[in-house]
Parts: sequence; C-alpha cells; structure tokens
Amino acid sequence: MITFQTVSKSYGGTVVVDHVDFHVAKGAFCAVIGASGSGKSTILRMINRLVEPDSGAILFAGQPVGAFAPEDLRRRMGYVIQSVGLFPHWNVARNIAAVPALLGWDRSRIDARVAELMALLRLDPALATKFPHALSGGQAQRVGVARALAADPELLLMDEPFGALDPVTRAALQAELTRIHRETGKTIVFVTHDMDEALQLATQVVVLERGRILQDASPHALLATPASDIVRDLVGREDRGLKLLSLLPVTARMHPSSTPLGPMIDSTADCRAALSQMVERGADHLSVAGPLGDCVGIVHLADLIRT
Amino acid sequence: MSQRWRFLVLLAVLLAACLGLAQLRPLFVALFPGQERPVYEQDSFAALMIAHVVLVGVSSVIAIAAGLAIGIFVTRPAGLAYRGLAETLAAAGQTFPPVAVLAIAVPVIGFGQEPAVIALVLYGLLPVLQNTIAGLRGVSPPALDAARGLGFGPWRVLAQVELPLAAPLILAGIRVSVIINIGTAAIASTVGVKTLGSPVMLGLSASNTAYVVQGAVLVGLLALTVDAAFDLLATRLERGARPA
Repeated sequence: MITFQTVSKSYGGTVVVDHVDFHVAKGAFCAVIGASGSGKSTILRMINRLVEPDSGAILFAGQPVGAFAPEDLRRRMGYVIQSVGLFPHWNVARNIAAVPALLGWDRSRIDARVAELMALLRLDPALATKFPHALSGGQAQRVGVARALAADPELLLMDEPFGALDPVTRAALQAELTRIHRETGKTIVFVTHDMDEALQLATQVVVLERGRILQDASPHALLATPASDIVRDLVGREDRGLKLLSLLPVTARMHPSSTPLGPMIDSTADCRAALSQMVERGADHLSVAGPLGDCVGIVHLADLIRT
Repeated sequence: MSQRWRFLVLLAVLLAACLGLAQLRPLFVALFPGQERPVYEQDSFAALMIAHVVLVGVSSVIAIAAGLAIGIFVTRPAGLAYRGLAETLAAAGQTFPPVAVLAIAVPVIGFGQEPAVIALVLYGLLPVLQNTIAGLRGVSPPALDAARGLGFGPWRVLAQVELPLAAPLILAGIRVSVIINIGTAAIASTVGVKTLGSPVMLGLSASNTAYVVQGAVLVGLLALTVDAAFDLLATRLERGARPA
C-alpha cells in the first residue's frame, strides 16, 4: 500500500528523516514510533504530500505520490491529528461530511454515510447538530476519526490521535480503533510516542530515532528479538516478558476442556491477565470461560511460560 | 428583535430629518435669533444626504475590496513576504488623522471628487486590511492542517474554512472603516465636494451655528443608523456560525 524508498528530508541543515526504507502492506496497522524530533510526523505528512521529501520515493498503490494531484491523493487517505482540527463553524454532521461533500456526493448518500459513521464510532445521533465546542475531547476525536473515514479511504493516516486524551478515554478509543481496523480492514499508519500503544494496536511497528529506522518488525518480534539496546530500552527492559504475554490471547495457550478446574478467566483476556490472576489467586491453572460463561478450556502456568 | 427595532427607528428618524429639517425653520429661528438665514438652503438636505452616501458607498466598496484582496494576498504563501509591511502600514496609517490624508491629497491630485474618493479609500482600507490579516491569522492551525490533509484545495480552504472563521473580525474592520468614512466624508467638503459636511463648513466659516448643527445632526444620525445595521449583520453572522 505504502512504500518508502530511501526517503530523506532535512529542514535548514537538520536531517529529520534519514534514508528511510519501509513497506506497509495492504490491511496492515503500522505504528511509527519515536521520541519528538524523531521524524515520525514528517514521515506521515510525506505520505499525503503535506511535506515533500528532499530525495527518495514514496509509493502509494504502486505509484509515486508525486504522480497524484495533492488534493486527489489526500481524499483517498483519511487524516486524523492530535489536535483534532474540527471545523468550529460546522456542526458534527457537516464536519463528518467534509470529504464526501468535496467529492460531490448527493445529499441522501452523505446523510446515510454520516449516520453510518456515527454508529461505527458510537456517537450519539443527537450530537449530529452540535458544534465542536460543545464536545468532550473523546467525542471530538471520535468525530475526527469519523470524518477521516467518511469517503471510505484506502488508507488512514493518524498523527498521535489519542495523545491529548485522558487515559480512560484513550483506552476506549484504542479499543474502537482496533475494532474498526478489524471490521473495515483499512490500512492504517499511526504515529505515536507511546510504545505500549504501538505494541497493543499495531501489526507492524517501525521504531525511529533521529530520522533513522532502528527496527521494523511485528510487535512480537520487537519484544522477542529487539535489534539493539535502544529498542530493548524502548520496549521495556524488565517487563518485556509481560508485554509479550499481553500480545497473546489466553485462548492461544489453553487446552480445550469442558470441565472447569480452578478460577475462571474470560476467553477474551490475554495471557498477561491470566498470569496476573494466577498470582493473585495463588493458582497454577485457570478455567477459560467462553462467551456463554461455560468452560471452554484450561490453561496452566507452564502453558504461559513456554515460548 | 431590539437590535432590529433600533435600526428601524434610527432609519425612520434619519429619513424624517432629511426631508423635514427644512420645515423646522421656526425652531431654528427661535434657537438662533440673530441669524438672517437660520436654515441651510444652498442644497436640499436630501440631496446632500444622497451625495454623502454615494461618496461613502463608492469609497467603502473600493476600500473593502482592496483591503480584503491585500489581506488575503499577504496571508498566502506567495505573499507572505509582504505581510510585515502590510501590517505595519495598516497600523501606522491609522495614526494619521483623516484631515491630514485630505490635506495631502489635494496638492497631489487637486480639488474635487477624485481626491476625496482616494483619501477615503486609503483611510478606509486600513481597518479592513488590519482585521482581514488578524482574522485570517487567527484561524485555528489544526483546522487548517485538517482541511489541507483531508484534500481541500487552497481556494476551498480559503472560502470554506478561513473566510467564514475570520468573518466576524473582518466585519468588525469593515464596520470601523465605513463609520470612519462617514465622518471623514463630511470633512471632504473642504476639498470642494458636496456632502453633509458642506453646511458644517459653511457654518464654521460664516459663524452660522445653525448650519453646523444641521449638518452635524444628519452626519451623526447617518453614522448611528449604519452602525445599527452592522450590529444587526454581526449578530446574524454569529448566529449562522458557531455560537461560541
């Protein structure tokens, strides 16, 4: 979907993106992570041509992004930013309808799409006629994501979209985004400085430092085989094992069984939660409860530790 | 509603004054007993009002168009280099008294309609320019970033995001510009243009306070009426846009 080929960019002699090469496959959820000044936002903004690279090529759907008119390119990519940037003089419905209106959709199609997106983002339909100043931070960013998805873009670009939200709201929106990614199969490029967020959401993590890629790998590979000490520090030296466990659903390690044995844990939990519960309950095995509350399997401490 | 009534009442009083001031001769005779001619009669007040409104109208339309155009230009990437200059000129220019602008215009251009229009345009342009720049610069940067990132072209960003968000401030600039021009246009009678200032000037030079009062009342009423109209417009604009 997106390919960077030795892309570099500098501002006034300072190199912010330095010979960057990576590929984001269709349907992937790619987190670009780094400290501020690592060039992560610049990389994102080069994809939709808000920033032009000094050298190298960026391909979108097999073609250099420079071959598209910037407006056409951007209308095929959703764009979500930390500060949201809703249009303060338009109500929620009109904000969401921004790109469909640019594309000249007819009224009834736009109305249907706005209703559909408000449902997808779990926004109360009564908010449709509210203005942005009346929204909470979480609601505003839900509208921001809905607006980005409005014209059904092939790619979603997100620049620290949840960085300004409180932890509870952030967790809720992270869960929504995971669900939306699963349901729509959109390719997502997501810039963040939060490693836990990257590991939790992404299928691919690109770690940047001072404009260079330190590692480009799956969350599991990043935790299991960090390419350098810097990456090891970034993913967390001491709790790397726990983070690895949190990537695994408990169902991946259980033995199917319908006979309950020991305390119950929900089948949607991850292995880290299972370990935590074992420690808490002083048990070395748990029963896994299916959606109906019945026992679907047993997981032992040894199952969690095995690699 | 009260804003609307204020405007309508002022408009009615203004029209009545234009047509009826001359009928108040007995009043002016009583007020200014020493005057042989206590009512200005060189032109009808209605004719002076029309001439005044036309002069202000023409110069304001040019000033608003120019102020908007320059303000938009210097906030585009191509004109950014001139923004500092435009801001300085707009701010410094307004420290000039309007009379001085006329005084400079006459030796350069001569007497008559043209120097008056040019002086009024130059002076009226400044508040429009200043507020256009301030309004456009005040547009929330995230909204601009989002608009560009979502695929709004430069003209769409301007027409659909920047101008609507800057509109209240731009309107405030236009209001200041037009109100100042109504006052300045009165002084334009010193360069030989027929305006509501003509009775005032003649009254001052001929020590006829009655003329001064008649001209001043009409200019004041016109300014109040136009200001009330802008009040109405500003409220309507804000109601159409965001409530905060």
